[in-house]
Amino acid sequence: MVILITSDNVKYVVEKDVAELSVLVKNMLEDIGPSDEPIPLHNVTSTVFNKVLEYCIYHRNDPPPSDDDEGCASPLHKYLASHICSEWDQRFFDVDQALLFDIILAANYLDIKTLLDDACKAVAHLIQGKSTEEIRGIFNIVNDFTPEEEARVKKENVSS
Amino acid sequence: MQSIGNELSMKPSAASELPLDVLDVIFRNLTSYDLAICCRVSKQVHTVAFEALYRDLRPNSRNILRLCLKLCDEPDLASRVRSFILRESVDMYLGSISEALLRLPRLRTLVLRIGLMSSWILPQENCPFSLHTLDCEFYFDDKLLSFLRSQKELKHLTSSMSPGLYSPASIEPRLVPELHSIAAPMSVVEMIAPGRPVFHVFAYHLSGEPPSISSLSKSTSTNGVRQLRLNYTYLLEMGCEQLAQAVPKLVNLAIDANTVKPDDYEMVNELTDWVEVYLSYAKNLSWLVLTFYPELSVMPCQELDFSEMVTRIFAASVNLTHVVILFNGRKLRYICKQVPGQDWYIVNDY
Repeated sequence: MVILITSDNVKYVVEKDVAELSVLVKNMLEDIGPSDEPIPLHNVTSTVFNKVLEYCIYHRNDPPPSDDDEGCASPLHKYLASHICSEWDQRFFDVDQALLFDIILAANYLDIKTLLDDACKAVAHLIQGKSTEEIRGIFNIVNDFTPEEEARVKKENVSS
Repeated sequence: MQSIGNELSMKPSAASELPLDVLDVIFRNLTSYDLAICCRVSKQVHTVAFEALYRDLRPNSRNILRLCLKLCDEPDLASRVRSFILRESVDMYLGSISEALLRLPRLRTLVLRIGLMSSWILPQENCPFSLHTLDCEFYFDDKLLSFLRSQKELKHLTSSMSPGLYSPASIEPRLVPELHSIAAPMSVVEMIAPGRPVFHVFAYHLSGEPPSISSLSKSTSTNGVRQLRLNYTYLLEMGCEQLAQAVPKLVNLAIDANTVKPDDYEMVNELTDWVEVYLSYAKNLSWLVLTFYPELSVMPCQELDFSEMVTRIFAASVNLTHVVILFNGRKLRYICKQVPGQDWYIVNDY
C-alpha cells in the first residue's frame, strides 16, 4: 500500500500497482525506498484525484501501452483498442470541460500516459467541427493575431 | 513551461494552463480540416497546430496535387512530414506524388491505398526516408521489393495483396530485418515472417492452397508470435495442434469466425469444441477474441446468448483471463473476464 496526499490534504491509501501507473509516483517510491512516508501530490486536488484514481483502478490490468515512438501500434493492438474499453472511457470522460482539463493537467503532472492520451482524445472530440471562435472559448484564449496575420494564416494551409 | 493561454486570457482556468506539448497530444487526434481551423485560434496555438498539420498529411483527390507541389517547393514544410496517408485512387497525379515522396526526409508512416499497380511511385534508389509503418495494396512485385530493400527500420507492414501473378520467387533474408508486426494474407505472412522478429500477425486465408502455419514458428522474436488473428476456416484446415506448435507462447488469439452463423447452435458448438481442444495445448494464452459476422445471423445479435460458450471456454483453461466477443461492424460486444477462483463476468456489457 502507498499513502498519497492531495494538495487539499486528503489522504489516500492506494494499492502499489495502481499508484505506480503514475510514473511520477513510481519514481518517487524508487527514490525513497521502502517507507511508510506519505507522498504529497502538490498539483492535484482530491476532486480531480478521485477521477484519476477511478481511471487507474479500472485500467490497472491493461497491457502496457506499446513503446512505439511513433504511436503506431500494431494492427492487432489498434483493432483491439478500437473495440475495447471505449464505452467505459466515453462515460468516464463525460464530465464538464473544467474537470476534463483538470484531469489532463493531473495526468500530465502525475505522468500517466494512457490517461493523458485518452483525455486528450476526449478534448479532440470536443473540438471537432467547431469554429475558430468556439475553440477559443473551449481553451479560454483570446485572438492575438493582427488582421494581416490572420489573413496570412488563412492562406497558408492548402492541405485542408 | 509554455502554456497556451496568452496574456489576454479571460479568466484563469485549467484550459489556458495547458502546456503546449499537451496541446500537441490533443492535436494528434484531429483531422487536417480541424487543425487548419485551430491554426487561426491564436499565435501560440498556431505554432502547435501548424506543426501537427504538416506532420500527419491525409490528402484527398481534391488537394493532393496542390499539396505535392507545395511539398516540392517548400523543403521546410516537407521536412515536417512524419506520416502520409492517402486512401483514394488518384491516377492522374501519381507522378507528382512520386516526386513529393522524394522530398520527405522524416517520413515514418506511409499509407497508400491507391490501387494495385502503382508501386513504381515508391522511391527506388536513394530513398530519403526510413519508414516504421507501411500500409499498401500494391502487388508484391519487384518495385515494391526493391523499395522494401531500402527500409531497414520497417516495423509494421500491412499489405492487402496476395503474391499472385507478380510474386517474387523468394524474399531475401536481409529484407526488412526489424519487422515486428504484419497484417496481410497468410500467403504473404508465410513468405515474410520467417527470419524476422515478428510477434504480431494479423492474417487471413480464404481460398486456394492453404499456406503453412509452421512458417510462424520461424519468427526470430524471442518468444515467437505473441498476438495472432486468423480466420476460422483457415484455422480449421490447420488444426489445433499445428497452431499450438507454430506459436507455443501465444498470448492473444483473435479468431475471425467468418463462416460461423452466430445464431446456429451447432456451428457455435463446433467452434467452441475447436477452442476447447486448442486451449488444451495453449498454456500461455490469456486473451481470446471471437469476431462474429452479424449478416450471417437471422436473429439480431443482441438477442444471442453466448454464456454457455464463454463458460465452456473459461473452463478449458486456467490461464485465460479474457474472452471477448465482437460483432463485425457493430458496437455491441462482450468483454468477459475471469479471476481465478471466481465465476467469469462481463466487464462492459450494458
